[in-house]
Amino acid sequence: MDMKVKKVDKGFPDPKTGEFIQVLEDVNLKIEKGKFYCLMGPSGCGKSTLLHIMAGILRQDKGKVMMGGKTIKGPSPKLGVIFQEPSIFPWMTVKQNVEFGLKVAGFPRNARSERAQQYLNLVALKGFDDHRPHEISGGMKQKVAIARALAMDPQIMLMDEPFCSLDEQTRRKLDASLVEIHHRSNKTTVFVTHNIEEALLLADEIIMLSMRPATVKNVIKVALNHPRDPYDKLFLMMKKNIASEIDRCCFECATPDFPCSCQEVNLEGQ
Amino acid sequence: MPPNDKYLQMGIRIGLGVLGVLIVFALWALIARYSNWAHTSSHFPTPYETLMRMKMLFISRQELNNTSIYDHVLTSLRNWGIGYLIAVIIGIGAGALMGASEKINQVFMPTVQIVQLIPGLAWIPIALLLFGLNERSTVFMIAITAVAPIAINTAGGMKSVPDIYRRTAKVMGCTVFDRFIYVTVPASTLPILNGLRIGLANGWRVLIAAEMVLGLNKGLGYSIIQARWSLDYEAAFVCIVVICVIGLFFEKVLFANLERFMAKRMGMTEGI
Ligand SMILES: Nc1ncnc2c1ncn2[C@@H]1O[C@H](COP(=O)(O)OP(=O)(O)OP(=O)(O)O)[C@@H](O)[C@H]1O
Ligand SMILES: [Mg+2]
Repeated sequence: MDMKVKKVDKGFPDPKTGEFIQVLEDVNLKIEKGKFYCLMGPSGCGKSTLLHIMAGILRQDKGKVMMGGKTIKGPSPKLGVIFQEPSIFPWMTVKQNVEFGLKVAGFPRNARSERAQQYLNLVALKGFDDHRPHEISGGMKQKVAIARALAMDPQIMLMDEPFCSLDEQTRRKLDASLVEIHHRSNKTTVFVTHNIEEALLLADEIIMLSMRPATVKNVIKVALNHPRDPYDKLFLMMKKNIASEIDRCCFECATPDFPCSCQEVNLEGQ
Repeated sequence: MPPNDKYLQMGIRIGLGVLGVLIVFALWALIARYSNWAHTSSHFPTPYETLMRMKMLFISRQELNNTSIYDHVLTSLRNWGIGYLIAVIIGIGAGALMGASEKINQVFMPTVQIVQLIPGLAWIPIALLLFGLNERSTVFMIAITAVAPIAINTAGGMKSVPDIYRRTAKVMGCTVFDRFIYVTVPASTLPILNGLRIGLANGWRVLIAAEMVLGLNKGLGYSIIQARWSLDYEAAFVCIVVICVIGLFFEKVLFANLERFMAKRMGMTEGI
């Protein structure tokens, strides 16, 4: 299913001063069916805000978000969402977590157990069904969250920096399995990341947001075949180009009263 | 920690606890002896005499104020149980409403906090006016002192459920009801249990006091205060010991284990 973000504005009153802060300004996106998008932008520019709006759990001030030709008015089972914060329920076992959406949707016990098992296998968590979240690692928790979202068979996956707190090695491994999963299920995906390499490994297109108030600054097509090699010449060149573009953006838009957070989008990832 | 070490540590902990109790008993014996030596008006029961009296009351089933000690204990426990049950139902219900809606919270929370500040015995005139001189007054006092901490902790617990769980529930397609049952309740189990424990202890304390003041011919508190007239101080001491044991059992055995168990089940113990 495709998705369109049309002229979306969003702002918040500052919790301390009460002053209104414009976070998103005239954001336009065209998300095509089956493609993998990475959303990049400086820290605090409004990536999570945008993803929440697309997920239907935050109202935009202006503009609209369409999915398959219909306006999004609230959360929908067609949208699988992975939040930036760890979100699996600590009071449920791994498998109960994966089954949760199915249970709420009224699936019979056997069917949901089978399906949960299937998706646990998919994210390579076979045999961890009965573990509790505090008994597994951070990377595994994110995989549970992914399995939980996938188990509902959404049309579109929205993922907010799911791997940003993980070490480089685990991140690469999970990125690879994500590519694999995307290849197999062909689900439309919007994936927020700070990491240029990660974006280049995953994306068909990289959407670059500007600093706050965020608008779409640039959309970069990544026409490399999978599996991608991060040491490939072309790959490295693209990485360098994007990094220098980020640097330039940072240089241009940094103003004294608005501390620049572009440095956090550093060249080599975190 | 290797298992041996764990048992050793537990042994040491229990040993130290027992040592503390023994010290208290030794002090008690000393004070009793001194008191009995210094003035002769009434006899200060020693630990041994208390133990003997306990045996008489519990094993030989001697009557105390025309009723068996079991009856006194059961009466107290029953009033406590009824009062507490009422407090739990109202406290959790009100707490859940206050936790669910900020408006309701703003309307009722100040009142609940004021209720919590009122010392238990101050409710006696109100209890008497409402229910007269009978056990319903006792039950009322237990309920009113137990209800506030339960409501406050329930409301607080539900409000402090991390927003990420609420959002997750939403995107997983939960209705408001689903979210309450599957997310809000489990996520706030520990604060609710904490409120329940405080409420139980409050109720127990006020129960003894209420029985003392209301004097309804039965109950542990009543028996203690009766010692003034019957000069049966050993029996009063027995009652105090029983009160301690019951209180300890509920607080340290029942609730401590329940909380530990729930912390584990709810995944609130810290992982690695
Ligand atoms: N509920 C809210 N109330 C007030 N301000 C908010 C709220 N949510 C977000 N903001 C503000 O909106 C801005 C964008 O936040 P957002 O979380 O979308 O950024 P982000 O791009 O996801 O950042 P990061 O890369 O660090 O995750 C921030 O300045 C933040 O302070
Ligand atoms: Mg974010």
